[in-house]
Amino acid sequence: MKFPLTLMVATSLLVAVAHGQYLSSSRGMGLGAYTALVNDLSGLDWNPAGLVQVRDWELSGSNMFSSETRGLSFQTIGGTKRFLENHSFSLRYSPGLVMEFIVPSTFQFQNGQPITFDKRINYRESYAFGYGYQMTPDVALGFSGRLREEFIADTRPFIEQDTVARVRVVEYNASSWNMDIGMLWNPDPSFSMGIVAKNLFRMKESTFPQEVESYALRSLKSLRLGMSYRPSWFATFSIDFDTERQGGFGSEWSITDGLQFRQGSVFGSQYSPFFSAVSGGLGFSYESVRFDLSYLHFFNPTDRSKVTVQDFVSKGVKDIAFNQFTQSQGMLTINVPLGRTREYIARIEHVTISSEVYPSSYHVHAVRPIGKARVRNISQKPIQARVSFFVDQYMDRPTETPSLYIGPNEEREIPMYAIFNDAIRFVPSMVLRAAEVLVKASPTEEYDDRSQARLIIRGRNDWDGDAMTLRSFVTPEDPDILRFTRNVVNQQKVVLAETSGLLEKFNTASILFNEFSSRLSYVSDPRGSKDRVQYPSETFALRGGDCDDMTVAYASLLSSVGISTAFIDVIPPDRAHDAHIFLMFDTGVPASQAEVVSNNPKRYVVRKNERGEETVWLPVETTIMTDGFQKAWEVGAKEYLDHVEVGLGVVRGWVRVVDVRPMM
Amino acid sequence: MNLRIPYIILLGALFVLQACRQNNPITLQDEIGLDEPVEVLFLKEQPDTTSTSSVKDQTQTTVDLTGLLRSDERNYPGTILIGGVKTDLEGGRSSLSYSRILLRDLQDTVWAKGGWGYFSDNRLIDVGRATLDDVEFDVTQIITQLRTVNFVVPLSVGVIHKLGNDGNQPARPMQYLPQHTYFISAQGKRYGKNGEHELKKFQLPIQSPDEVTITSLQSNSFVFRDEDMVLRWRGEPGQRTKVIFSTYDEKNGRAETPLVQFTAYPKNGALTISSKLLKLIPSTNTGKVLLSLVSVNQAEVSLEGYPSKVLLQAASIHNMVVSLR
Repeated sequence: MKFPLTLMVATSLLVAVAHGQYLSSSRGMGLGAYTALVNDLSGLDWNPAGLVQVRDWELSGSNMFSSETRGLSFQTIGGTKRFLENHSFSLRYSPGLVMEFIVPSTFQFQNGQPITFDKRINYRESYAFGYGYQMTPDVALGFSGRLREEFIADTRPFIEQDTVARVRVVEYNASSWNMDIGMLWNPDPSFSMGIVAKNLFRMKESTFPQEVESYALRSLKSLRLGMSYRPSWFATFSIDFDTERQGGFGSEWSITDGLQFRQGSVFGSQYSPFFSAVSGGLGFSYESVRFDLSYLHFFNPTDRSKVTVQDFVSKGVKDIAFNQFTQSQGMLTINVPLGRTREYIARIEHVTISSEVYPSSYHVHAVRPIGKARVRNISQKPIQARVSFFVDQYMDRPTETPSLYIGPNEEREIPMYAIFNDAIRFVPSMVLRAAEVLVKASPTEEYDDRSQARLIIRGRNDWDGDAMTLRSFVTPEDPDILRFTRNVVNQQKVVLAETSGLLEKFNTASILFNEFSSRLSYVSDPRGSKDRVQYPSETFALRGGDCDDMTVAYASLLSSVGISTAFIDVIPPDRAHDAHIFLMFDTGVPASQAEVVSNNPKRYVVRKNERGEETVWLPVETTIMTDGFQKAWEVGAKEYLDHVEVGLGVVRGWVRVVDVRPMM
Repeated sequence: MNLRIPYIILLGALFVLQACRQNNPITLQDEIGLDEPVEVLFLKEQPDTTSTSSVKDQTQTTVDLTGLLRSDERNYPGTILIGGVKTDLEGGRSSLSYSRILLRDLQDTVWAKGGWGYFSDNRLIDVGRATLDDVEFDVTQIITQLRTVNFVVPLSVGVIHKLGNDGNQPARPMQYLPQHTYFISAQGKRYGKNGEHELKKFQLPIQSPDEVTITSLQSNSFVFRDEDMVLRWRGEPGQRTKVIFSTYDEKNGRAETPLVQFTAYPKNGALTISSKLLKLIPSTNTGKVLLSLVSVNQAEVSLEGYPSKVLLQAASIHNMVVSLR
């Protein structure tokens, strides 16, 4: 903390801030230069483009304390509402933005009752409105209008019966709407720039007659430029300067999340001394309510008791709140956000869904990302962000990612996961659903940003053509499969009992294949593609299927009796339309005793099983149903030889051998 | 909307709190800065001119030479005056200085009836040999010409003691000395119809005010009623400063009818007259008025043997014709 404190002291000594000390905001008063930072109702004065910084509803009120007021002087109250995301509108009532001058009576009538023939000049800026528009994420525009009202009540004598003085009050009114236009540019969260054209337009509703026009408020057009720089989350520097040759700078220091100190000062070529005032302020937040307290001290304030009529007329008043007669004062501002009150610190920049959801393999998305969300930390502090993913109807609750660190103003891609419920297994055909993606950043529990992503959910029989996901169609625990295998094993238990223990799995596989083939027949895919796969129970119910279906069904049968299987996925490099899949199963026979199965090494494959032991595996072409197990084995072995041994398909990557194991 | 009732109440309370509180108004000061306000007296008087009555020619000088309104002269039966007067008319500047002792005997009225009416006034008292410092006053018999049907009857009203030119019959010359302490003395004399009263010997000192010369205006300057008139002059103000606007008799080059008198006590040679008052000054046919700046030191004195009030006054007066628009 020593470093920021040292900087604070250093900048306090440098003092300087901006004109246009529009004293409608304590934060603005404390900082001095607020054109590029304004984010509240005082944007009506400082920079109307800043109104877009209000998140939803915000009510603001300010009070001023000064030795030149009768107690507490209420300055302003108003509200800002953001609507349609990019638009903001403000209204303000300012009963305290009043300035009154009295030109006292310098004479009295002899031999008459004492009568005061003074002239009262009253300036008000009671009503203001503003509009802000977020044109792009970096640029905001805005305009504001302030109703300036001027009243003069001139108490004059008139002579009755030649010598007797009487009184009458002559009143003059003038009013006009003074319009400002502002722009705010935030190319980077650490830098912002604001430009405001003050009093660019003036719509006069009424004017003073010539005899009192010297008392009228001055409305000079001017251009003010403001910049702010935030080198770190705890320090902000700002500077303003305008064409009236007034300007300065200030700084704000965040000690904790809800506590800031501010300081600044005012300078201008028309001021005496040049650095005419310094300001200091304190800001703190309670929940979402912000309190700002500031004090502005003039080194050489005008002695209000010695202001002459001639001085007043020659210099005039340009701004009701801040002018040559303004005294040192304190100000309290309270901003009460309503509605969407939280400050968002994370933003979803982009969502990518990397895969479609296949009900057959829906559970993979619990551990394998379904997509990614690119999240930006839009705050100036490090955050912990997590993303949740939710699809109505097919998920019971959003699936959240673990929290990930994101540095200030940095982006990070966060992988999203999805835990679907069983309903997804019964999607009959492909549907399109909106997935809701939320990002939450510490320390809050409400979400910071939300996004929607289009999610394609395939039908329950849809398959993406990947042998890996084909495994999800293997259902060895399906009651129909279990019933089938138990019946076959029971019927053939005598035969199986006679076979050698080494060939038990071989014989079981052979018997199951033959029983299986006697009940089913091979038919091609109804859509002539391999993106549809039947579950084994469906294959049995339909008494047939294509190669995928038969392979899946036979793999399910073997798995149900404890025989390991593997898919052999063949996609010829130059003949993708000839892609084919068949399987091989583990006989459990050790490689050293392979001759028990066959003397021809081309009829089997030696590979490691789940336990890492080298055993004999037999390729089986499940589409050769009617010719029995031996033929299917023979064809399968030949295909394996051609594709893997001769064609080097595995080495070259167009043949994959995928073990059928529980996924995940 | 997530309303936060306590904060709404807080803001509402702040709003209510301001209801009876306001910013202090700034009371602007007049650049001239008088301690006391200017006293204003609008007048309804008859024309005040030496041309209307032969008697008054000799006894009552016009306001532009004495700085006294007729009401002042009525208030003081006795006047002892010293004056230095400059007048800027269209033809140039003229100056005169005078001193005068005039005491009316309120118990002795001269009354006479003529063919055209009657004359009635108080007799003027002879104060005996009188001097201003070491210079002896001339004694001037005041003879009124009472007109009958067939002839004119001279009628003696009394005497006044005078030096210099008071706009009437000139006497032995004198020169007004600014900031000079004059001593006016008289030997005293018996007076009354039968000499039953006796004015005792007296000696009165009075310091003359500095000579004043208007610097912010010139003869025939325009004075605009819509603007406050800042009148500046050279010369230290006396005890009291008066500005008198009168109608202007171009034929005689004299004030005709006083319209308004402003009385002030300035510290410096400047005075502001509000446009509110300028607007009330009656218009004249030509728009021209005579502005008289009168700086006076005066005192009310009593003379042994003379029962009435006596005004002792020394004044420096600068008259100027201006156009009031």
